[in-house]
Amino acid sequence: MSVADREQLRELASLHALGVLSAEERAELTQAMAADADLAAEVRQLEDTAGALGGVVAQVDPPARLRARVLAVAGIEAEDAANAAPGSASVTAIGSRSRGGDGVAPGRGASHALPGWLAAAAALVLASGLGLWALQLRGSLEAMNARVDRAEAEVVRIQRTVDEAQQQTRVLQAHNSVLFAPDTLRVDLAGEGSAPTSKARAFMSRHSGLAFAADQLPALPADKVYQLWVVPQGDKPVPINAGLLAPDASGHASLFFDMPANVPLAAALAVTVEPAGGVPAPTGARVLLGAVPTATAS
Amino acid sequence: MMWLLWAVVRMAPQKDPGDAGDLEAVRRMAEGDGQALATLYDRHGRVTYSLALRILAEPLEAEEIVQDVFSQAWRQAARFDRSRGAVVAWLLMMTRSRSIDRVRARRAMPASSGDPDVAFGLIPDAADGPERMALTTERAARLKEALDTLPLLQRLPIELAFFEGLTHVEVSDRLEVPLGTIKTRIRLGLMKMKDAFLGGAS
Repeated sequence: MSVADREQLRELASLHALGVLSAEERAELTQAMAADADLAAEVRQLEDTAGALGGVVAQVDPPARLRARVLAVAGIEAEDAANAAPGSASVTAIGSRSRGGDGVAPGRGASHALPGWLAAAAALVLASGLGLWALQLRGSLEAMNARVDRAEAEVVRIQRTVDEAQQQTRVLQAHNSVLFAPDTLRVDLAGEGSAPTSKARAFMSRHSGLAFAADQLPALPADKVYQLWVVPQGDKPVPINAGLLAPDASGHASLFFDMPANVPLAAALAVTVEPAGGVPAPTGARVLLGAVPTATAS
Repeated sequence: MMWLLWAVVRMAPQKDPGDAGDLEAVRRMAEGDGQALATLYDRHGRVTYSLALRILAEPLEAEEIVQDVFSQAWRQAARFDRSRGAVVAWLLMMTRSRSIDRVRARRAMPASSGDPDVAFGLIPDAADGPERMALTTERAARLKEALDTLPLLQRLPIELAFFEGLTHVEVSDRLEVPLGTIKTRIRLGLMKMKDAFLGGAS
């Protein structure tokens, strides 16, 4: 098996752990695991890691009624379960509990105090009173639950907004770190070929990344896309894919590229027109080109 | 009873009484003990609800998911396979795949591989393999820290896949980043999280 194949299988393993593989990809991975114990072990560890990922989200208490709904599945009433000591068998139906034989002489209480029928009548009155009270309590509890639910939904919405804001801040910080990195170089790109009026500018740091923005890019047919390349120095440079550009209606496009570790010194930046989805190495016509200044290259 | 003994012996090196308690609850559920379902819910109702809510952002739908998940756990307790991992991981994967299917249905996207038996646990019998890693509080904390400190470019694709249910192809479209780059970033990010999760254990 080639190194590339092995790397591809390991990528599949990660994707599998996140549960996003297609049936064919999964079959490919399963087959490979049968012959590769290391791969199988890694899949298992990645599964456990991703499985645990679900447990690290912000914790929110479920509404109290959910417990009752869940327990109803097993045919138990929530009150029974809530009052039961762990491990005790108190889930028995009420009817089966009154069979006696628990050490307390049946009827002893009755002979001491009230005639049986009177005790039963008193119990009935008490029970219906309690039932009414319980009903009222349940009503107000439902109302409270509804208010808590709405409040929780609001908290979730606010949390989302905060998450989005934090994400935007991180993107801005990434841009900032490029602009102010000690090794940052400015690269101006000029249009050519089918885009003579296009212009672009990039700030690039080998350590902090590449922030790129282009203007006046002509619209492309649906099956074509603009792709940015970092062209390394050297006799036969192999361009590094820095991502796809998606111009808006005015022809403006920007992107941020996270420089790979040990990226070679760059000689130029270029944008080409490629088939939709992008390609691993440039094949199409060049529309933007700019040389990287060498004087202060780090 | 031998089964339980075997489970406890297997659990011992992990020093994680939590999962042993879960296994005991699942074993009792398989025998029809409703009280054990209450125990399992009291231990993991919150974490499963939180995950469903994180994915669906809709409390009522999250409640339905949790009810469905525990209902499935109740029905399938007898078939729970210890070698597939910790009980809580099983509950979380069921919660995730059901929640994701709802999200995808909402957006009129084709369903993901909904059956967690398919989506999770490729290995039919891992009894001879290394011990599955249980979700201890310490591991969860390390994992959270690893996720929080992941570079955004690696974290985003992982979150989109795990919490939004996007496939790698869809993530690539959404972020306008080539598929190969997305796969690499997911792999790098997940490996870092795996190392943090396993921590000093290996």
